[in-house]
Amino acid sequence: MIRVFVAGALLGGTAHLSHAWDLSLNETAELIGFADSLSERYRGRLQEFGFHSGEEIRCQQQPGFGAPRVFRVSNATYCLDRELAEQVLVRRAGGTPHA
Amino acid sequence: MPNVLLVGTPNSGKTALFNRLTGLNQRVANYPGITVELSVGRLAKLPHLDLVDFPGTYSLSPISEEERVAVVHFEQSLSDPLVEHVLCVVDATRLEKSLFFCLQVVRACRRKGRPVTVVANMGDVLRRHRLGIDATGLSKEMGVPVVIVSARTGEGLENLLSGLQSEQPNVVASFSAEDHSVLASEGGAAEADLYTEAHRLAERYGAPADELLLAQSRLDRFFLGSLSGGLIFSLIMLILFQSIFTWSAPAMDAVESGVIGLGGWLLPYLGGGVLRDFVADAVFSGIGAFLVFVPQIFVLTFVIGLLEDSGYLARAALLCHKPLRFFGLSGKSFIPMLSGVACAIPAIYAARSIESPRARLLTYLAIPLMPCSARLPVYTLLIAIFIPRETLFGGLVGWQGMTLFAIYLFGMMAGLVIAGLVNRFAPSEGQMPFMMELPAYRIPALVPIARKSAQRAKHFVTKAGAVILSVTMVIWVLGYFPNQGTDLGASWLGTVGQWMEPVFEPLGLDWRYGVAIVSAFLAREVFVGTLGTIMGIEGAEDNILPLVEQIQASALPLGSGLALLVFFAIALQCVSTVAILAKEANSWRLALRMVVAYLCLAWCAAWLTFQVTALFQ
Repeated sequence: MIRVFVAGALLGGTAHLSHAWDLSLNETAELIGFADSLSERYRGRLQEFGFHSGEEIRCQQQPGFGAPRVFRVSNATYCLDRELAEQVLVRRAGGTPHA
Repeated sequence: MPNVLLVGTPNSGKTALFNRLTGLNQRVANYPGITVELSVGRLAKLPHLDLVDFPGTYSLSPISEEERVAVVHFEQSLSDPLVEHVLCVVDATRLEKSLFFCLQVVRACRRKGRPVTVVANMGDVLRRHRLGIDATGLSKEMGVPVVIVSARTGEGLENLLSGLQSEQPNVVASFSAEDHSVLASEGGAAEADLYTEAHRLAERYGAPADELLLAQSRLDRFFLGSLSGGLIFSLIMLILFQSIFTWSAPAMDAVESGVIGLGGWLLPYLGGGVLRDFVADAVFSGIGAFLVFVPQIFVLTFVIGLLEDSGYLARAALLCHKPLRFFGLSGKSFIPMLSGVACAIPAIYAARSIESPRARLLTYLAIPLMPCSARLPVYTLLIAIFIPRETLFGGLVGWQGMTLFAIYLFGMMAGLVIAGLVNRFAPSEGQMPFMMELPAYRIPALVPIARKSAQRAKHFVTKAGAVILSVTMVIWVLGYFPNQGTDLGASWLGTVGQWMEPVFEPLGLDWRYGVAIVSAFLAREVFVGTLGTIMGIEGAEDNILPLVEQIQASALPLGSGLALLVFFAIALQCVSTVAILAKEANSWRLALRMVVAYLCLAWCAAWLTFQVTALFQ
């Protein structure tokens, strides 16, 4: 679990956020943005994949032994490793903040 | 010649479409990033047009080398007056992802006044699921023709070709900038609008994805499960290596019998003398002993093709990411490394798809250690000499196959360890994260895979055949003269070999093996041909079995056999690989350093193997 301060229009102040790696198997969440530390290059690529604010993201598979996890975004599936998935910020269904 | 550009997102079936339209046979796989170079072919039904296939890219803002190649060439090509049309291939089953890139392409074409057609591929998949996309509505909204096709079945291609043939107006130029402000605008703000637009168009005109993804998700649960995923991966790899030996054995036997039969028929017509000796010893011993391995090359390529086309290889890359990461590599290194099991040259090209320069460099280091098909004849010969041909479980698993698996594993582990050591001790700029699209599972298309495998086997024969013929001729002449082959030790070859013998003596190998190893620097598989020629001069026949018996009778120590296996597993002996490596890494220095380092390492490891084996004998 991470606590990230996002300054900007997305959240309008301090928020307790979760990230994609934290999602349980088959859990769906709302994608709300990226951690500031994520480089523009990867942010752009993720956006090209369909990772946009407001999109639904679902954890489809959690292969064992720390392997990258499989997420469904829009109409396609992508695998992201922990380092990257931890920079994809999500709001879990029901809007419950996780801290 | 006027040409048509073929662009699209990775794994949209672009190259399959290229092959369909041109009748050529470019490499195709159900894995992103297979096309890494531009390919050109003439349209079979419109021979006045060339079709140019670009590597797949997710957008016109590249992040990897393969994408950079695609984008730079695409933008340059749009200014080329010979470009008559642009075909933008989208995956009809995943429209939103493809449409973002497609909208960028349409915008770029509009700027340059080039006509563009959107080709919605994989129409057969939609039809099978009783789904469809609204091509007419999409075409109206985008202002460009949209044609639904299937590169696999060929459906819809007539419509596409008739569109290319017709004197259609410049559909892009007729675009209404007012109605399509997103396409008309430029800059970062427009990029965000493009995402929104792609999303809207996919929602409105695309097929619902749930049904398509449901089957994939079920299969992923099995193939990527914590326990089942690892077990299946191990099983598939074991089958891959068993298939090389056990399943190709009947075909190998047939080739061997054919070579013997041909020799038996031809040689009596040649009478005696130098010509007969040349044909028997140089041609049949050299080329004949090498031809017997062609079925194995075919089986290996075919099984890898099945894995690629089914969509499993992308899952394997995912499963391998974490362990590969330990060695500084990426899950994306898995595909080039596995391709290296067939041949290092396409493997080095495939490494372009690895975004991280460091992981790419480490992959370059590991690839030459992957047990390529050129090593297979050497391994097969040595295993046949030392390992009994006994099988278990009704012939499904054999000791020879298990040994081959072990030596393959050794080569792979050596590659990983070297990459890991370099990663640990070389300065690092940090790792790049791993992200990859998972392709849909598909039933492999057997005919194209078989065709591709046959082409690979043919390439193996033609590429290696010329080298082997030249080398065996030289070796034969050196071994035959000046005493007409009566005393090999006193021949020119014997003199050269004895001069080199001190290098190989510590490995328990005499000068004949030394000569064969040196000749293998042109291509590894030449080792068998050369050894066949040398042994043939002493009376061996023209196929592998007598060669095996001849070496067994010469009482070559087990330690020397194992030392040879280890030497060939590590040494970088392929001239073509070195040249491609230097080109791709843009560094001859790196390539030559690798040659020297791997040779020294190979010799030391072989010596150690010989010494350790001697302790147990």
